[in-house]
Amino acid sequence: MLKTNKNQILLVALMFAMLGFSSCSKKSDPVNPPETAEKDYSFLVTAGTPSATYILHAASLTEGTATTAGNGVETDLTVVTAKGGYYYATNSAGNLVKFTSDNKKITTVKEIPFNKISWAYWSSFYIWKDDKTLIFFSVNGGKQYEYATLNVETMTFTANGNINIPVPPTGYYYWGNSATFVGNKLYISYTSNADATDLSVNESYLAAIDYPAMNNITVTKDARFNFPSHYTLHMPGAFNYNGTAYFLNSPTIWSTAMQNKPFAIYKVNNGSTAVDANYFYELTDRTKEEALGLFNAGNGKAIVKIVDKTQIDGSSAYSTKFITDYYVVDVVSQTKTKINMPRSVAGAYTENVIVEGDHVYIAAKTADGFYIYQYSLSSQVAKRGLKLDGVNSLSRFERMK
Amino acid sequence: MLFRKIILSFLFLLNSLFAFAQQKSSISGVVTDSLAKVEGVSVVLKNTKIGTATNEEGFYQLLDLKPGSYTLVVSYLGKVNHTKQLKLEAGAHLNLDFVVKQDGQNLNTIAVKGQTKIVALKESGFSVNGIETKLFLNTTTDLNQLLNRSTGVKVREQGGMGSDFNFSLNGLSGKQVRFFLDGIPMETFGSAMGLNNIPVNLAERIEVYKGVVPVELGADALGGAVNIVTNQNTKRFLDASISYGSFNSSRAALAGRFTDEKTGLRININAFNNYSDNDYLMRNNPKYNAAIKVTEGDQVVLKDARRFHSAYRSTMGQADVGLVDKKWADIISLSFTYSNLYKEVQTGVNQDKVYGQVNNREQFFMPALKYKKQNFLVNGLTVNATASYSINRSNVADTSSYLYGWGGKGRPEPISGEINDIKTIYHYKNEAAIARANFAYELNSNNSLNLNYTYNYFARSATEDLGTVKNNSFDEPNTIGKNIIGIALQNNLLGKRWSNTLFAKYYNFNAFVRNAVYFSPDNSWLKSDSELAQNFIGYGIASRFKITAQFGIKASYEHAYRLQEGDELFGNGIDVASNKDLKPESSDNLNVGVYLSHKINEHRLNVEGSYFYRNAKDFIYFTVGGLYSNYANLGRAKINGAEAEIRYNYSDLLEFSVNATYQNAINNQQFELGTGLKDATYQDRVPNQPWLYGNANFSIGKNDVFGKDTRLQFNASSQFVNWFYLNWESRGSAESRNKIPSQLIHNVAVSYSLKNGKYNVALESFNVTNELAYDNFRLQKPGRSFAIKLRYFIK
Repeated sequence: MLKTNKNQILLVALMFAMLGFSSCSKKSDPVNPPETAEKDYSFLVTAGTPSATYILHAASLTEGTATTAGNGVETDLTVVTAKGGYYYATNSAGNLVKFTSDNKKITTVKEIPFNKISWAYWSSFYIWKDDKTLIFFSVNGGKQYEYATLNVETMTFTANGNINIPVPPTGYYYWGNSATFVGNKLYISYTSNADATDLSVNESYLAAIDYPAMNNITVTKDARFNFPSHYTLHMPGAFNYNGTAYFLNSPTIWSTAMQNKPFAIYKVNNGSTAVDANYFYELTDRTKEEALGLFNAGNGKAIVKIVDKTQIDGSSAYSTKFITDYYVVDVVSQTKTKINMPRSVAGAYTENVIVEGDHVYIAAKTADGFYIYQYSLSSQVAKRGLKLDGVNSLSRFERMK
Repeated sequence: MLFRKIILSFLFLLNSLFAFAQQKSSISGVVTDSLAKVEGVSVVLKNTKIGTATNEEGFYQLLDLKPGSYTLVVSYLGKVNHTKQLKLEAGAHLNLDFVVKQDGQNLNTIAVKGQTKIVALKESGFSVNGIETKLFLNTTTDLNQLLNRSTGVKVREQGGMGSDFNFSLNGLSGKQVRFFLDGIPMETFGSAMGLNNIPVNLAERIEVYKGVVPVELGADALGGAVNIVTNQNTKRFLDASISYGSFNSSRAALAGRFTDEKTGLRININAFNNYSDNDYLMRNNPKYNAAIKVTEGDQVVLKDARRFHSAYRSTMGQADVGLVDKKWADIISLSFTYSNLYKEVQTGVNQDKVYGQVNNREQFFMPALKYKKQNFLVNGLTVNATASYSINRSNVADTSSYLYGWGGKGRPEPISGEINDIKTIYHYKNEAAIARANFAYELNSNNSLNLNYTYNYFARSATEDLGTVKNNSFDEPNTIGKNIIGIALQNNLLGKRWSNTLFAKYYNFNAFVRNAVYFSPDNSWLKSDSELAQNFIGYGIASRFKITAQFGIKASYEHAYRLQEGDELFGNGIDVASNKDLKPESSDNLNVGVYLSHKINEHRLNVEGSYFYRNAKDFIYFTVGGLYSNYANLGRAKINGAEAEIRYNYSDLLEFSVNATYQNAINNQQFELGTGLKDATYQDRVPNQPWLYGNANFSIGKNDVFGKDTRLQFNASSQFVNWFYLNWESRGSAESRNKIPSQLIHNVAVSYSLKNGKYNVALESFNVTNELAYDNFRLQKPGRSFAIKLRYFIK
């Protein structure tokens, strides 16, 4: 069974960290980023073979170099998310750690037991309800949905328990969760795999749940989709715009052996408990390209990675081949615009895009090296900026201040 | 097939050589004392340069002799025992056996006797540590601890008795180093028969071959090999011991042999039982990022905690029945080995992850057949053959209904296991068949040939009891078969002052994996049974030149391989995919060394030093993917190092030795996998590997202190390992780089023997200063411990 080993594999992944594993589903408001005198951006990167993980900081994304040479913090913490200048991570004891860092050291704010939920990388995800409230979700053993709500200021859990989405039939497990809030309605889109084959049942489910009671659960299915982005829910695969929740179906070679379904966006209209049967935006030719990631760029737009599927010859292609382009996708007008920058490594599920107002920043490993590309949504011009030196891979990129 | 051609060529060569050798005269025989065959007895023809010494079988032979009259002189420990006049006819072969006399069995004589083989190893062209166990027989030391004190070796243990360990030899480790018990590969023996279990009393000596491995040990040993040699020559003895110490640890060992002179019937018995609660204190050490985290309510408290799920027991019994000294066989025997293990798992990859119920039970059974004959078919040809079949069953139960931490039982957990995401009871079954045949042919006193063939078959299968894991790739066995043929030519020049061994090794393997996952050109993942066969050729040379009788230089080289394993090539069918392009790990290994022995009256000084170089590539690493991960050839390392040992003895009173090893292992991986981008850590020191370590041993003892035939002995040993970085030294801030701290561990022992070593009692303390020691990041080893050992030995 896939999931039996998945947890260990993913723990190993933290050491090797060839590809990404963490992100947040809902960044700070991309339209109106808070302005502070001194900016601070952070990068969770790996260096070396075998790799080690470092947190790097830089004040500017448009110029200069951020290097791991004698710089940055070596860490074995598994960063789950970051907000308001703080990181939230699990450590090898399985505890939850709130911390800050600079280029030299980590300062732990609080470490608490993380035993209100069965946290496992293949089956867990989280959503920021607001700046103070971080909700963790998990599917224990692929069967039972659970949640735990954390007040990040006091670092105490204010609620936890099961979410009574019916458990899958014997011989199946739930997989591929993607979730977002619209007001106090929580939507979780997911699929189900067979234990014996790890193959998807080739349909997707949507659970609509009332927050904070975590009840009034409605589950509907939609056979048009089979793998709600994404693999571990550590790269955004859903967002809401004007009260409508948008999701990406992303049956990549990286994540599933079932690829006969579209790379398409679907939506749940405000107040509805089911996927809109009339909306279907297929982003690309499913036989030639893959689409992954749905980074909210505001105004109904999102940044999506489009990968040349014809170049993929196994999992390693995602971390070694320069086969990825970035597009601005308008989910309302159903159009897409290519960002003019060199092709880069896909990095599969990495949190490598941030949006600040008109500016999109993309951390891209190209044949010339690792750089931050700055793209203007209005002028549609891309420029190369900060260089990341001594970096093999990046799994998170975010603004701390 | 190529290896058939090699065998045919060798047989043809042997045939020609037999014809040649038959026309010369020769003398051979066996030297024994009243109890056993004696090694290191000098047999020379007076007034000639012709002479030899008996081997460990007490066997000697003088070949390529001209007809004529000779005086044969047999001497042992510097004293002439026999002289014999003889006349040799052309083409004649004389068989002359001798019995030598010895002065009792005092410990000093035994030590000197044992050193003869060690001297022979030292004076071979190979870079080899010969470790004699005799001085440690009264202690509770296991083989790992003994090996860890020798140059170039670092054994990194995860915890107390029975814990997992990583054995590294001149910077290469894990599967890159192979282990043998009397020449039989140990990798399929199961963990009850590991180096961390075998009591010192069951071994006579250990040979550690570094980088360059003789063909007799037929294996794909990239970084070297360790051969444990048991006592084969004593006709009758009994060695029984029992010890008890801290952490409720006990060790019992029994070794004995009975040989009936009339019938040639020989019975060997070996057994041991080790037990420990391993409930040592885990000490909170935030300074080295090794805090002990205890959950108390909603708080994490940092404080010391005692291990509570770390018990370990291993039991082994072996009976070997055979015939010796028959015309058609020097030894033929059938043995049965059974071992049994129970192990509680306390921690995960580091001490932060705590388990409270997971355990492993293993059962191992192995019948083995051995045959040895000198002068097999023709004079000078020795055949040594073994065949064994083993089955190792391992049951891992991961069914806890609770999560655990250092505070003990935590919250209930109805679905997940502690290790796996679902509760499981796995039954693994490993079957191995090994056949080995070694032909050594002495052409004349200066030339010999050695042909070694090893066949190794391994199958692994698994079942799961709870039925939660339906996708089990091991429900049908995955198999791998290896053929390894080695051929070596040894040649002596300049009156045996210059000795060379040239060798070549042929490796062939055939792997079969059920339902291997692979990526198909039509962009999908498919599963099918997969099979692959590959061949490789390795080669090398070992050379020694004696500048004086006691001072020599030596050099050795090998182009070595570590073959891919089945699951590395084809994955596991669950979440690890195939990589048929995977190459074996390979390395060019070079050693250059000197040795010196000097004796003035009762003072003996031995000095050895060597430089080593390894250029290893295609390290096989696990690379993480999404749905499917795989193995890839990723790492390269260049290792330069030096090691030295000085040993001083004064009579049987005093022994002092000190050694040190330095190795500079550099990451030689220039580019990131699959890209032209330079790897930032190219030329960095390979992380998480000790690079400077040393040992000092001191012992003083006196005979007849409290009465006749007694001996009082005091031993002290110290081990030092310099700190090293967990990760890359060039990356990250100095403040944040994790270190494995330096350790300086002292052990002391006092022993008292009565009646020439028949009754022995010893008191020991390991880590007497209670040093907080880590071999691995965040995995604390035991603190101070005490033990008492009682031993009975008769021969």
